[in-house]
Amino acid sequence: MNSAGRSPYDLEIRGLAKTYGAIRAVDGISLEVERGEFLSILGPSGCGKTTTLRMIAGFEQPDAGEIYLQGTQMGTTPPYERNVNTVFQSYALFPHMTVFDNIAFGLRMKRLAREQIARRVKRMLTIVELAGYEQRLPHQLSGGEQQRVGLARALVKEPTVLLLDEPLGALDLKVRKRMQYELKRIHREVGITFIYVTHDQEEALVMSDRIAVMNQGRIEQVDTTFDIYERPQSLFVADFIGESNTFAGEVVATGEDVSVRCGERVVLRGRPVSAALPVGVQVDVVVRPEKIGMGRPETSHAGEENCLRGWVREVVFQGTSVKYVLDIGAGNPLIVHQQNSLSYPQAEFLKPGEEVLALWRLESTLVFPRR
Amino acid sequence: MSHSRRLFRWVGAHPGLGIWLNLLPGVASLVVFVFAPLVLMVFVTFWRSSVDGMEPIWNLDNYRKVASDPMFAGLLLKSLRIAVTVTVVILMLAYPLAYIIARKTSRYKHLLLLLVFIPYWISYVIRTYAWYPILGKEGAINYVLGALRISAQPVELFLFNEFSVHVGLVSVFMPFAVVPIYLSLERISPTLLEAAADLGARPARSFLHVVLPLSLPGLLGGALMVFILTVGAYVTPQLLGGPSGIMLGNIIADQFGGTFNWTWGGTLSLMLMMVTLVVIWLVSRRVRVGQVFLGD
Amino acid sequence: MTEPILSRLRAKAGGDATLYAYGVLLYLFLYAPIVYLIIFSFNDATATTPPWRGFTLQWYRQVLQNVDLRVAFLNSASLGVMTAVISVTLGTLMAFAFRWRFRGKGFVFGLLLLPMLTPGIVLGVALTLLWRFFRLTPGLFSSTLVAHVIYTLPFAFLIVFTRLHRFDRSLEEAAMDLGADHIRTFRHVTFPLIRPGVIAAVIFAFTLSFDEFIRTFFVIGNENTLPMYVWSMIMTDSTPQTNAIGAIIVGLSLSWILLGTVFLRR
Repeated sequence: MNSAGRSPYDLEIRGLAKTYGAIRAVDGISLEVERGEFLSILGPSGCGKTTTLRMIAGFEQPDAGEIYLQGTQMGTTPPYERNVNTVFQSYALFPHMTVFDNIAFGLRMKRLAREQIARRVKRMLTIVELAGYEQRLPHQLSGGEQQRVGLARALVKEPTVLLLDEPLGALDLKVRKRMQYELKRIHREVGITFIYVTHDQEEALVMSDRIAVMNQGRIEQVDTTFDIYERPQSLFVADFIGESNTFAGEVVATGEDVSVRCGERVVLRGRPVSAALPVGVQVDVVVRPEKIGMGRPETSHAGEENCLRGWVREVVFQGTSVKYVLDIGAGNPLIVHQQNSLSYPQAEFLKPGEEVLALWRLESTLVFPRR
Repeated sequence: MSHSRRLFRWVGAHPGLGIWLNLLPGVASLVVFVFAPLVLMVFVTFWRSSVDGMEPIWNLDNYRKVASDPMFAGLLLKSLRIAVTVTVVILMLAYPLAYIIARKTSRYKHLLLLLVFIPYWISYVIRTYAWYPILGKEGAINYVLGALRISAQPVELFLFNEFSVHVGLVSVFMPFAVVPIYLSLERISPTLLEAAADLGARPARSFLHVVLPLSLPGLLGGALMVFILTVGAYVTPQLLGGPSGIMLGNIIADQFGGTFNWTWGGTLSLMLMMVTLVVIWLVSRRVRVGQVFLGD
Repeated sequence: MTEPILSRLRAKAGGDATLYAYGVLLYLFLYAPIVYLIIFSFNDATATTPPWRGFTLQWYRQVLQNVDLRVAFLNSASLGVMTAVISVTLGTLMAFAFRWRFRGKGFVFGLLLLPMLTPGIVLGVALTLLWRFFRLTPGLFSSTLVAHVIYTLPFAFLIVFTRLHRFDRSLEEAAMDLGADHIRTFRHVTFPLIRPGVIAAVIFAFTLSFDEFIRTFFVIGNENTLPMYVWSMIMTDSTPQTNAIGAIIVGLSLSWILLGTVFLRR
């Protein structure tokens, strides 16, 4: 029955569904996670990502679908018999136990020998860089330290899959950034499969091998971080990850690429993301702000696939970049990010009211059929 | 897989069953020993008292007596009047005290709170009895008055009348009001008062529009407890009331002692219960009664 | 903490001294009778009223020699222990059920509050009617125990429930996640964390039972509890011995309450 090693996947989910009253929290999702992978489940709050995680952990029973851990069907196996461990957003450290006892808890439940427990706890404390903290109580630790203990407590059991439920959500920005790299390092060190739930797209991009984007109980797309960002398969994914300009329009010419009319006098050319789009179809055109270049209106830019005349409406200095809001007469304004590569004192940006050309390549223009 | 494991898995998969197993002993006791006796009490009011205690002969005699007996009406009104007066006096005394404790910053705060909390748990028989040698004819107050030559003759006004009943009830039941009021005052977020001040409310208005409404659950909860305890009081009027200070509770007890009229005793108890239910209903229109006790 | 703001409310009003004087008077009102009672338990006179005739311990000696009193005390103590054990067990079980949603929760909660919201004398009457209707013999460990368990159950429930309510349920999930089954989760995580609440509930239930009078008065039958005995002493003839008993009871209650408060704070 136990077929460890036979399945190429540490975790497989098939048609998983869970309903609370009238709300479909998880609406038939399937997913495969490879051994040693760092996969993030990303989505807005209420998209079902935490419910999915809780079903994998065994805290909730799915209404339909199956979960396989290394090829073994989980069924109604209770949490304490599943070889997965969870890092909780609230840390959930036992307040009446020391750091050592918290980390040793799972090993004691396995009834391991005392020396073995001590050795493994010690090793784990070194990995999470908390050596010497054994006898502290949770309330004597900072948030970041508490989360390290939570991590150590779960990792020391050497689970098949480690589940992390927004583990950095309660930390402040600086600590969070540092913990992101810490987590990546620890992931490399222990080689365990991580499933990481978050609503923070930047965090997911920084940490993951692959990202599964969830929306309204369904998985919109599972891909590498690069593909999720560069080749989003739906408007939701394009919109949720990174910043993007979106224009509504109608297909006016079709071929390998399509031309879309957005507003009175603007026609954009781009690549349809999925099937070919016939003329007359309502679509959304998406282009990321950093893919857009700007030029003086007097110069010629015949080579560029998309070239639009516009006027600067707002200039926002953001430090590493400058954000321009342009009026191009396509409904929404066009947002352009330019790297702040100017060196002081020649720094000279465009000013509101100036006329400019906005230019970008066909490949950077994504066209999604309206749902 | 062992049996117990399997059992736990099964219970784990059926949480509803576990819930009812947990509830069963408590709910069963409450139904059998609270709910059923109260229902029986309602039945008994329609029965007839006998040498044997009571006989299930259905009649309305007790209700005729309720409607016609002027002594009953007088006693009920008097008990209500005393209960309302005592409740109001207690609230007026307890609120400022709770307020003082809630605004205390020093470490004495917990001591002050504890000092209110302690009498809550000391036998009220003892606490009532303690007034006896103070208020009596040869008691402490008269002794002091005599020593100070304020009155040559001992004053008999202090004991065995409605006054002494009021004094006893107020002192015995006051802690029951201070604690809930304190808890609700303590929960008021300081930012709300800052916001009120920021928006131009002077302290008095801040109190009237912010503090008072927010402490209302505690105020009403305390009032409810005090009223219930007072309206059914037996010990205090029996001990300090004398003939003029007796209340409904004393007459009810008589029916089960010397007078031996159980069904009438049951009827009087039912009337007392009705009054209580009306007051609970009135309070529950403003605050959720459960919320008062759960503290959130 | 709310204090700095609350105190600012009246800081400028100059009413501070008045408020403090008021507080002192109120505490006097609460405690003077008790203190008076204790002082006159040492008075070398047969009356419990002034003047002071000198210090004596004779009333306490009498208390110690009083056999009826000793029986009543032991009755109250054993009744209190049994009451506390039963009602805290029932209350804790119910508090656990109340962590879940279930049909009829509001009704069960109302049922739980009923003994708290019913005047004690009404419950005494109702229970005595039940006993007499079924022609049962009232007694210490039958009708009286029932009355005390019912009376203390809401308190026990509320103390334990408040404790459980503050309890982060992900702690139990964490324990199960780490391989502890239901029993071991309860033993290693849940119970250690609610233990102070349970102990506090036991102490308070015991104290309430130990002092209970009005319900006992109706259902006790021929036996005696300490408050019943004290009552009969007061009603016949009050001597400084009554004061001495009162002082002892106050002392006992005080120590239990302080103990209970320590656990409640944890």
